[in-house]
Amino acid sequence: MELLDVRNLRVTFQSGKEEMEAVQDISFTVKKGETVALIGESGSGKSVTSLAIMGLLPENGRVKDGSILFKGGDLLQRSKKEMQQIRGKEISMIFQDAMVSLNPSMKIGKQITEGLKYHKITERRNLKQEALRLLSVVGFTNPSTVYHQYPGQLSGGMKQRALIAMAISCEPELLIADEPTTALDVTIQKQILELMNEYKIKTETSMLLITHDFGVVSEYADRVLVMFGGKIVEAADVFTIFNRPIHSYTRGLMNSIPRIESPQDYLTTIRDSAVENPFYKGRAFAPETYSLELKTYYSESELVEVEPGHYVRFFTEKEGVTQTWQNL
Amino acid sequence: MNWKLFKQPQLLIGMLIILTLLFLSFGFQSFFTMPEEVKYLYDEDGSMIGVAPFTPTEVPPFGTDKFGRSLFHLILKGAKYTILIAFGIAILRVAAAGILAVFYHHYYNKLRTVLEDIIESTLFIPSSILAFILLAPLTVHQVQQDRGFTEILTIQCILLVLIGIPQLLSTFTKDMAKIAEKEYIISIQSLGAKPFYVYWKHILPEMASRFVLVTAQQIIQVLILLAHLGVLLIFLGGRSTFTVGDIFNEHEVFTTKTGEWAGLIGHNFQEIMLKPHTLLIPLAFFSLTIFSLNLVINGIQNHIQPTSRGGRK
Repeated sequence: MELLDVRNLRVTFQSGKEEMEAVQDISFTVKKGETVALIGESGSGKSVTSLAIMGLLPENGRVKDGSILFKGGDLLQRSKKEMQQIRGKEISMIFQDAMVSLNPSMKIGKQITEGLKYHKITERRNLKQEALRLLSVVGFTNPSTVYHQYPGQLSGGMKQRALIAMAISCEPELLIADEPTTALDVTIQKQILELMNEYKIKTETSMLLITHDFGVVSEYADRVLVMFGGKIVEAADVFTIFNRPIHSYTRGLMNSIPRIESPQDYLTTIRDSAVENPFYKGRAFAPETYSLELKTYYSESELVEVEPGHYVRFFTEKEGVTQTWQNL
Repeated sequence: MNWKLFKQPQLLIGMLIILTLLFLSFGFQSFFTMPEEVKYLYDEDGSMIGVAPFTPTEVPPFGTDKFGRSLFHLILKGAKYTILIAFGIAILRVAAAGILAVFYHHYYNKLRTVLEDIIESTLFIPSSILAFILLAPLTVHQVQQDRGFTEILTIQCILLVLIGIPQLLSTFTKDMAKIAEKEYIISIQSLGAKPFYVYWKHILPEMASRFVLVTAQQIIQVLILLAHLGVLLIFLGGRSTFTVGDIFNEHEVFTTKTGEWAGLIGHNFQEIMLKPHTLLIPLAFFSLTIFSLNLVINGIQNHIQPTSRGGRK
């Protein structure tokens, strides 16, 4: 049974009188003990999806449609109080920038035990002991020193470890890691990811890993969802995605990774300049966007299962209004 | 806020001046003896050579008021009332606005439609005019209904506290909104923190230095407001009325019951052209207190933003 089942989720943001759809009709599941990676470029809707799951969208954001089923119950139907009970205890989140995700004026030890205090999991007199245990779990060799330190006294990697300790303090069933290693250097990235993976395997925690790094995905994910422009453009297990990518965007992303065995003078970019144009209303990654054709076509797209478990977004047969570039 | 704040020299100098004034005021009975009122000065022959108020050169150190009372002693005696009442009003304003700001910020979307325009509109009314309109009827009540000193003082303080709340409410709500947007607040919410826990443990402590700063600013505002009200003959604790002059020129004079400085300004205001020292001396002490508080504020600001203000961290 799926632990998390997101169905037809649409998230919009109000900007003045305009409503912008940041997440457009996405569906996916996360099974128990599974790591699902949400990959895509900045602005593709990955973080918004995670915030929608947590019920922590900014004030101008709202879930317009869809459902988020967690252990069979719809999170969107839960009251604020019920969501407070779920957050931290059953679903927890690791944020991308540890530099700003810890309260700079509160000692690490106190911050780590915040979740335990809210959910009254540990007795007050045992909180310190539990904090020290958590600090050792995330790899601190001197937990009692770190306990009394402020975030400003820790390095980036140490802060990220502290954030992980906070997130796992209540032993949640689902851990959402929103680009947990983006702000770290490569060697520390590896340590942090290993730490999360070890914890995940040991406790059979499910993980929704949000990243834009295919290297991270290849090593730690079981299934991959590639997002672009608020939509899932391709979804498959990690081996299929790497061996047989179909969507132009997925292939473009993979080609962007520099390869040590084939040196290049320049880095490869995703060859679809049309998508950079905010006024472009045609079909992104359609053949015409790679040609000199002056026409754009409107048509809906949908995820099609091309082989068992491998979904790719294709344009539907029905083509919409044709326009020339000049009219756009 | 931490104890490093007290390493700021400006803060220490400002606090030293204020504490000295308070110390001398509270210890007035021990350190000083109130001199007799000098209404008339006579020469060696017994001829009258002057009538109060006397200038600082005639009766050192600060001269006298129109009743012949030593301004030096009056000012020291009144310092505790002036400074403590200003402190009290400022602290109550900040405390009340801080608590209300939590609710206003939390229910901002619901309350905004009703309260935002009201709050914003009150920001543009000069507080001295608003205070005069609200406090003037109390003076009439005091005479007509024989209201007690404590009752009048309490009502005046409550009204002066209320006058300052809308502005602070607006300021604090904006500050809270800025802090609430910080990522660590979202991180804490993702652990299941209840909204009021977030305010109590994270937002309000982060605003602690700001509260101290705003309190110091409010004390200055209250002192200025009291000085304005003094000119308008509104004195804290009410006023005593004396009839002076002779049958050809009889008129009423109002004096403060507490001896606070605004009262000295108020009842000496008519002397501004002839004996300006009666007004300038209390004003100088108002200025000294405000200057000291500005030193305190600068000290706090240097502590909060050391590098942007040219200080060392």
